[in-house]
Amino acid sequence: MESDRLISSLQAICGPQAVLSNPAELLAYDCDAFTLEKAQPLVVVLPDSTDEVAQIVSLCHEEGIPIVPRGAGTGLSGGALAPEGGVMIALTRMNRIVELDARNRRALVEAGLVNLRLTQAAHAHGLCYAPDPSSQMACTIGGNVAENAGGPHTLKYGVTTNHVLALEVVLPDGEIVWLGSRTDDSPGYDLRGLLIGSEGTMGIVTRAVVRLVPLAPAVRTMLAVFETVEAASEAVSALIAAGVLPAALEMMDRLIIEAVEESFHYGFPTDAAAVLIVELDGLEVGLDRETDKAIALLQAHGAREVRRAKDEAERARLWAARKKAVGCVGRLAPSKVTQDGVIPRSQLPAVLKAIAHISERYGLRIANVFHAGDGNLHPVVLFDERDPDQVERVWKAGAEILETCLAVGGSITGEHGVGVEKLAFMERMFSPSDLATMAELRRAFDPEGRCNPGKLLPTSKSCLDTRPRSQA
Amino acid sequence: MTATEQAWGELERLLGHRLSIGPQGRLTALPPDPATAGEVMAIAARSRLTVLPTGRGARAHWGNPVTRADLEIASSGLERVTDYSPDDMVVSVQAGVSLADLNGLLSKHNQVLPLDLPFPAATTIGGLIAAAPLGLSRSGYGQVRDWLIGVDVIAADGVAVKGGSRVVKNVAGYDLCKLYAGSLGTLGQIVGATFKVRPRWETSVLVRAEVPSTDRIEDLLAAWQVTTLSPAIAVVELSKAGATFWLGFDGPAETVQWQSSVARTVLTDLGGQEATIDSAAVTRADLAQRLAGRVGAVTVLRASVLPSDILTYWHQADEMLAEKGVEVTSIAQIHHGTMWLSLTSETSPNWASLVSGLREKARSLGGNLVVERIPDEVAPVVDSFGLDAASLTLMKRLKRGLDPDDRLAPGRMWRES
Repeated sequence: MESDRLISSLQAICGPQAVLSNPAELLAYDCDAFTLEKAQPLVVVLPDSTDEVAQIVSLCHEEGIPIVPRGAGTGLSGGALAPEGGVMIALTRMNRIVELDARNRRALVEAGLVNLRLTQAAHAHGLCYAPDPSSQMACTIGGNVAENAGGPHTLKYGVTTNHVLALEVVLPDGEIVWLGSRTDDSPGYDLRGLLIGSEGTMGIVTRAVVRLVPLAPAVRTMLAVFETVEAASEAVSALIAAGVLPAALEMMDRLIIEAVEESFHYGFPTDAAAVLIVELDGLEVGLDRETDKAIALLQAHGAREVRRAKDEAERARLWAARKKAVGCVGRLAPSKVTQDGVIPRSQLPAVLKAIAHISERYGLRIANVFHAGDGNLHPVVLFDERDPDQVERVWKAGAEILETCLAVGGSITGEHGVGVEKLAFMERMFSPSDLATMAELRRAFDPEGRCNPGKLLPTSKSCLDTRPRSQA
Repeated sequence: MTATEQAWGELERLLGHRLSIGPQGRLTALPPDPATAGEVMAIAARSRLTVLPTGRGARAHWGNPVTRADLEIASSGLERVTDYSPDDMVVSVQAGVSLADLNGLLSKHNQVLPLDLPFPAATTIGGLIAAAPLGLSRSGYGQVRDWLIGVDVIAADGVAVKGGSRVVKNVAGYDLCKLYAGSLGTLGQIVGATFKVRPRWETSVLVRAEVPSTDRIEDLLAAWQVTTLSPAIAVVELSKAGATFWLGFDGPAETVQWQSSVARTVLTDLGGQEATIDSAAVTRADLAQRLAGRVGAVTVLRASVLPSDILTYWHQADEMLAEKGVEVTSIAQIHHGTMWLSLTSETSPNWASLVSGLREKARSLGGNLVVERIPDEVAPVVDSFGLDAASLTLMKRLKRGLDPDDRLAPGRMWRES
């Protein structure tokens, strides 16, 4: 289909204002928050309803055009890139809370709704939406579903898949289906669970029924200060091993502390090697005893100081600083790549040491700000993307970090997804038969491979399309 | 020599005494390790034998009866704990380990996989994942799929497939753990699994109250959605005589004491008769067992409705069943709207029609209904799941992709029309 005819067909569906096709407009859509690779779609369309999405997808199906769903573009693995061009479908205009059912603790929302807006709306009912990625002020529920997003408080409350009951999905042929149920149980295969984290490769999520959880009646938030990263990571392992179940357990190292302090003036100790943010929540009764237990463990493992947030305002300032920490490193370098490997929690001291060695070996500064409680690392590699030599070293350092995670029995990604960034590592983590199985699942939803192509699974030259499943 | 006879010979050479004829006259393989399980499956694939993966049979009756099964592959020989890192709170086991044994091991390190299911000793880990039963303490701890972080499967062609990992957070690739949980052996034979686990609670109590007055039940059902209490267990038993509420609290002693005290006040203020802390008379395990259906019930159905529709659905079901001379009791998860209906009858009602009627009523409330137990003679004519058309199309495509010849537990998830 000629691009002019495609554009006018899309305009007929969504109106001319909702179709972007000139190069200047498309520039904003050539990457997401993973900026090492860029690729422009042929056209971006911003539908306003499921019906419009279905019409767009049907048109692309008839014409054999790739489709790329996009939320707010905050993804960190290139999941919203358009490496094969095609039509990018941005869901940001579909941002309504259709229904908030406090009695049943659930809400029906559109995919383009910003995560934080849902939690703010739920607060009025004493509820919240638990997954709280650092980008929650911008990221969308649809994007969260695509990546199975986490966040600091998912240590206790679980990730996106634990909080989504049902999904309205436009399949790659344009059919609209509901997967899961607005009630808590759904018979048959868990298609809902399969779609969550599928990075837009099985269909376009347009609406979701999400679970809301009661706000914790009481919270204790602490900042523990350490002289060495090793001591901080040993304290994390000790807390987990002792059975303390924090709502969140986050670590920031010196580079991050300095950048965050310069931005927020919270009062972080810039001479410390690492800090831990430890948050416990639950009933008021008994919470102090649990807090005392945590403080004793932190001190026993070398915390030189444990500060408690004295009120909600101080707590909010602390979390604002933490959640914007990666953004703050813009002060340190013009470019950054955030890795997302996961390791067994007991391996934190050894792996953080290994990352420090990688940093030295490649001559790159690596800052660490991460979800220590669940072993989900976020080494932020700092560089200047205008220097090809640095870019080359960034790729190599990133690869070594992921190899280190795999070597201790970990994963290449805990919440950012594979996208285009970690495609090469799928074959390191999974066997050919594992990947062949995943390819079959993808084919069941998208036999033509047009839905967010070039993401999540390594493509043709690998094992994927060669191993027959049938014995026939 | 037929393909079946040739397969028999190959299996005999591979398994020796671990190949037998089961009680139903079915060839039964008991592989001692996952690699052998893979070889067994490969032999079955070459000979196009249909295969029924089994555990210890606690939920063998779930799903539609399989239309054919030439070979049963039992996971009960796979009994190793392959890795346990108490400090990481992660455990990997082979599929034949029982839930009771796993929790026995975990308890040595004061940890637990908190599912509170009926028949823990007869529930293998493979069966646990394949059937994905819902447990008593769901309000506090969710369900199997929330704890499963890795799964090892033998695919239809005998090849080993791994999903997930051994870390507690992972989004690499598709979430195969979710796909295999509840797949009832139709997509592969589960041979191993990795779970995250949690610390065992310091103390635990059950609070119980009878509510004879039907018009107060709704207030009490709603109350547990708005209180700040966080019960691990929140169920209500419903019968013509009224309701019995059960709230269970786990945690540090002072938290549990405070919560159980508040729960008693709420229960009595809203019409419950004397609320008692009843941890001795009825144990948590006893109560969990009730999710398998009332003793003597010939049919057990599991409906899923919104929590606010529990009482509505109960009245609709009771009225419909009373007309047919069927007695019903129910136990329901207050926070989740999951209701087990235990049905008994002196006569022989038309079970297929009753299931269909009750399913329609659940659907009209936006829910669904599955069959957990039904008399053998009517099982072939009752659809266990009643899947909707759009989901069914996708599920069939998935099944075809992973089991192209439909040899794994054929017919169990849906009936071919």
